[in-house]
Amino acid sequence: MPDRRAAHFARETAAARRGALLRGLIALTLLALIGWPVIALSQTLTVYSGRGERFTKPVLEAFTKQTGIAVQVQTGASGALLAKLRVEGERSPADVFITNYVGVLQEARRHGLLAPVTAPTLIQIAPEFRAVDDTWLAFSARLRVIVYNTGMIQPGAITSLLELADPKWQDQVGTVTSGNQSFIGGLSAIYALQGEAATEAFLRGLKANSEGRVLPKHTPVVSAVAAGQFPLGYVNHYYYYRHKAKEPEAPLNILIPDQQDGQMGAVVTVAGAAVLKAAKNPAAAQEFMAFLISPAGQQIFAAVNYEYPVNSRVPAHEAVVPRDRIKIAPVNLSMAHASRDKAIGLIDKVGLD
Amino acid sequence: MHGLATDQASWPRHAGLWHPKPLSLIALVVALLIVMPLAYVVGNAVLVSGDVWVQLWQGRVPELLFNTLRLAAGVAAVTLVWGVGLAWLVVRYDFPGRGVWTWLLAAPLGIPPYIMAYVYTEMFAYWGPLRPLVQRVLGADAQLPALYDSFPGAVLILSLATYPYVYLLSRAAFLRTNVAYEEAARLSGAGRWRAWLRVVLPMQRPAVAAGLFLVCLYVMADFGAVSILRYSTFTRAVYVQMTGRYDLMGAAALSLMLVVLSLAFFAAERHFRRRSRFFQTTAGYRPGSRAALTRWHAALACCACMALFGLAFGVPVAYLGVQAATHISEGALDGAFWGYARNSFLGAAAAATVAVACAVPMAYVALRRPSRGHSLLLHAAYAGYVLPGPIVALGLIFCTAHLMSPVYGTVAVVVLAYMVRFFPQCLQAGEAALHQITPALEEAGRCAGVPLWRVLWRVTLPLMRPGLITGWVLVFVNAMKELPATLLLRPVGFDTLAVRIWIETSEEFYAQAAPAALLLILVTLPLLAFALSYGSVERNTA
Repeated sequence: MPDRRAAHFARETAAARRGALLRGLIALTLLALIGWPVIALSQTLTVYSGRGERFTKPVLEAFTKQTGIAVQVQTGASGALLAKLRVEGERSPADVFITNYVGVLQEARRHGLLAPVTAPTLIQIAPEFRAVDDTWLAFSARLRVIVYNTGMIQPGAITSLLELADPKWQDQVGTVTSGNQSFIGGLSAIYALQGEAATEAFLRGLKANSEGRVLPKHTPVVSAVAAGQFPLGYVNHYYYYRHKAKEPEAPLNILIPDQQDGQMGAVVTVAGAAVLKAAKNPAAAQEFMAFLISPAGQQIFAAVNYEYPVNSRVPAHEAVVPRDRIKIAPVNLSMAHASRDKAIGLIDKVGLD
Repeated sequence: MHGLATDQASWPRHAGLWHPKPLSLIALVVALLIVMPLAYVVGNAVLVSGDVWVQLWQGRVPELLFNTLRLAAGVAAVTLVWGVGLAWLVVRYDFPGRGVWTWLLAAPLGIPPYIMAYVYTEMFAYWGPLRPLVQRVLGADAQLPALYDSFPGAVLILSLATYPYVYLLSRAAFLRTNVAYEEAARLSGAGRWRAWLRVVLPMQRPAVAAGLFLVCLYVMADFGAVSILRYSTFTRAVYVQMTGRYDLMGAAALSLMLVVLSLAFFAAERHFRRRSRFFQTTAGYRPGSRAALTRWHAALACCACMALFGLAFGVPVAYLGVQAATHISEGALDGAFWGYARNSFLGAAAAATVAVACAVPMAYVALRRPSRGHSLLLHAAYAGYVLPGPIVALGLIFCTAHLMSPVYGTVAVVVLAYMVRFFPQCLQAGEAALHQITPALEEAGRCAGVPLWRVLWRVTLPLMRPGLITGWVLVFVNAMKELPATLLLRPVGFDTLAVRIWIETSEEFYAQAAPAALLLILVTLPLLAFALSYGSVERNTA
């Protein structure tokens, strides 16, 4: 008999435990569902950012400090955020859209999502860093460069991006996967400058030379060059400076390509921002844009990621090659964007990784 | 809703009237919510012109189809062997540490496939820690195989990440299996292997098929790992179409192809299940006794467990631990970090609880009142599982922002996304559990005049409990790991651990992502242990 009672008791406690568990779970659910009502403060500027938080945060904080306008940011992938904005339409809570690649903004403009920037200081920014109707503007520029291992390559052995396709560098070039937005941006500029045939030849050569050396991101490309796994890497300029800041002794150097007479000049991709047509706080959004291109805002981009400010009055980071010593490829960004689809078509045709 | 009306007979009070029963109604609402992203995909895909379809088909689709199917088949084969083998080992044999291995073997479930892929590609990379090691052992010329662009590499990584599904569901099924059948086979003269292959294993077919189905669909919908491994599947192509080419319609068209493909898998799994329906009565139920292994066999068993656990869990966690250590000492675990952890935890807990609450009526009407309408609802519930996360997010944004705007931008939408993506896992577990409960028990209760809800509460639910706990844990763990939908749907400022990992790695600061990744993994450990022990304790006292 005691046995049966014990069994009964065990059942009862099990039932009690079960009840407690269930109640706990229900409470948790309710908490989770109502715990965070979104407090849509009208004074809060909402930013969709396709740019790394590490680099946007200092700018946003400085903006809040200067203007008293609170900012909330949603970080994501530029292309995915654009898709989100398109689907949200009028319902979007976003006021400002920041992207790493201005091509995404050009696409947003094409879909009629953007409102013109009205900041009076806009004229301080060169026209090639703005949309023709000022619906977006660039705030920082990056160069497409070559990094090389100083133990394996003599300075001057290579001077142009296009030479990366030269058969003499077979199995010696590392690059990022062709889905990378910087890769596509750079290629679009090359296409705009060199035309279809030359771009295709470049891709074919690059494919042959980088077989088995196509990596998912830029950082591993630079690390592999520094480690001597292959002598040449095709990357954005700031990855070189990042690596050098971490490992000053690395046998690594940067080549800003196409600087000689008759060469096309360094290819640039830019990060930019825009005000959304559906913005709930358009005034604050415009104020933010003005701040982005002000010396205070521009300084921060230069400081945190070695990028080139678009406001010519603001110098670049002291570690990087000064802007006035660089010949920039004469590509209008809108023009480069127009060739983007063709560049992607070529990537498909050549079958790049 | 013709199908809903056909089974009126079982509900005599309302006979003759179309009066949807509460359970059917709940199932209908759940299915409607879950089907929203699919409706968005179909709506977009029908707008795609014929030319574009032809272009898509002639372009990469055949290659993507081949790649995707090959990967799913490869991973299914590997996880079948690992999952079923280990489940049998821990259920029926005794060896040192068996109790611990039982739940440690499920631990890799907590590791997001993208982290698994990241850690292993880093280890195998030129600059990774493995190369010097291998070169010291095998000579300076030794080369490591690249994990990029490699089919075996992709199969290995995804198998390591997904085998626990097969393991968990098979283990639950082995535990429920009455040993009497096996003994009968042995008494009839069948050898141990023959009895296992002909009697025990066939009885597990529904559970094993359910596990493999989850694995296949998981593989097909995975985006993070295949991107890192640069293995092109449908899902990866959908993402490129959507974000690289700004082509939402093309992305929808590709997604639709993926859905059609998954329906084929679904039909195959259903077919398997129909052919092998086993009910077990509790009368005469005895769990199998565990055979003690001899010393050498026990050592072998331990080694097998250790090897798989080490590869699937030990290595990634150790790697992340080393990376995280320096970063934590620099003060990474601040208030914000714990805020992300809380967001992850509560979001996942809510999704898991809602999923279990919805899975019971859904599984019940599908199995106990089979009708065309109900099976349609069940199919609908699986609709979101194979849709790529970013597409699920877009579909939910579209539907909630325009149809239920008060909800849009709240955590509820994130929870809904988790439901869409992971409800099938809970449903599978629930269905598998319900499968093994004979309807006679419920009928007995109903004959005694007990209302249906009370029978469900007192009889069916307690018997389903191990399955439901498994389902809860599966949804919770996956929701913790979920990234692509969370990234797009989270309310502004609502960052989860997975989102933080993405934010840190997207700007290529890997070490900063390690603490979040580590916490994400470690949180799921005690949970899995609890679920497994709770489930099995229940089993033995039932």
